[in-house]
Amino acid sequence: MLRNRAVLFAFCLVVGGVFVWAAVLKIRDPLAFAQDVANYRVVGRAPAFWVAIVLPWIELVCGLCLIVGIRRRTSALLASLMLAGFIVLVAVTMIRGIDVDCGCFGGLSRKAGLGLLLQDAALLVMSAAVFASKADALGSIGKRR
Amino acid sequence: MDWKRTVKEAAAIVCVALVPALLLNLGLIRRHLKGEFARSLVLPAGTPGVAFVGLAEAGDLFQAGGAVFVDSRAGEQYAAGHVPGALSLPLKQAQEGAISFGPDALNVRPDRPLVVYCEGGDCQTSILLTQLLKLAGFADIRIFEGGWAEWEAAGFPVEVGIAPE
Repeated sequence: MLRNRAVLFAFCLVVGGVFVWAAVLKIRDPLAFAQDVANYRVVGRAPAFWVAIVLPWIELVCGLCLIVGIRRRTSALLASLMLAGFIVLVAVTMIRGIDVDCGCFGGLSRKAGLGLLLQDAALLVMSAAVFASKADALGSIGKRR
Repeated sequence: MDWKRTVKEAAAIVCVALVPALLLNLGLIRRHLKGEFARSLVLPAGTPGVAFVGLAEAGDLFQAGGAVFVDSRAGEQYAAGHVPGALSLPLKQAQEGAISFGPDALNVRPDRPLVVYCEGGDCQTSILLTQLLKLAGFADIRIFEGGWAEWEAAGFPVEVGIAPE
């Protein structure tokens, strides 16, 4: 278990920053993100629409909580769950041979491929480390007593 | 580890996110509930003059022979299988200017219908290539929503091999 506060804080900034950046780009154009979700061919247009409406805002709140230090461990847990979901989705898409943009950064998205998997895996390691850390190591506003 | 508390906190974070998500997208949600996005998630305003066609219509256009099919996927995907007679115009190369795609370069009359497709599911490559083709002078462009995946799954004719030079 990681105890170094500086490293854990850096992890929070990196994961939180990526989540906020990704969320803002998607919030600006929900329909384009809905299209990206539908392109994975896992859900239909209607579920894709609702995912596009809600998911970016969850990403934004989680990212801000990680950066600001509100309920950091719970936010890290949610971020880890989302990242694990993204990894499974991208892996399944690669196995199915579907050529799609990941949709993770709005118009700046890249192809759902190995590079994206590695990026998500690195973020997952960081967020999982924050979640697994001891509350007193984080020194956050929402720390457990 | 207090899991009960963690779940409660996670639910609170999701609820906090839901408020702006629903409030700020109220207009889109109303339109969605009226069924506006059932056929396509692409706003007509973003792609003026572009029609979206389904499998049956794409099949009819292919049978009639009047339309030119345009494959917007990468060259290797085109080589693995495509609609017979389709032109290969990989979006990336078109964006980089590596290939010419005007009516003269393609030897296709600008008023002839084009049916643009990609892998499937209204993928952005079809839409972006359509925008480039419109700028190049083509007047009648339709996007085949189901794309290659739907065409192949339907058992429609398939051609394998690279595009002729």
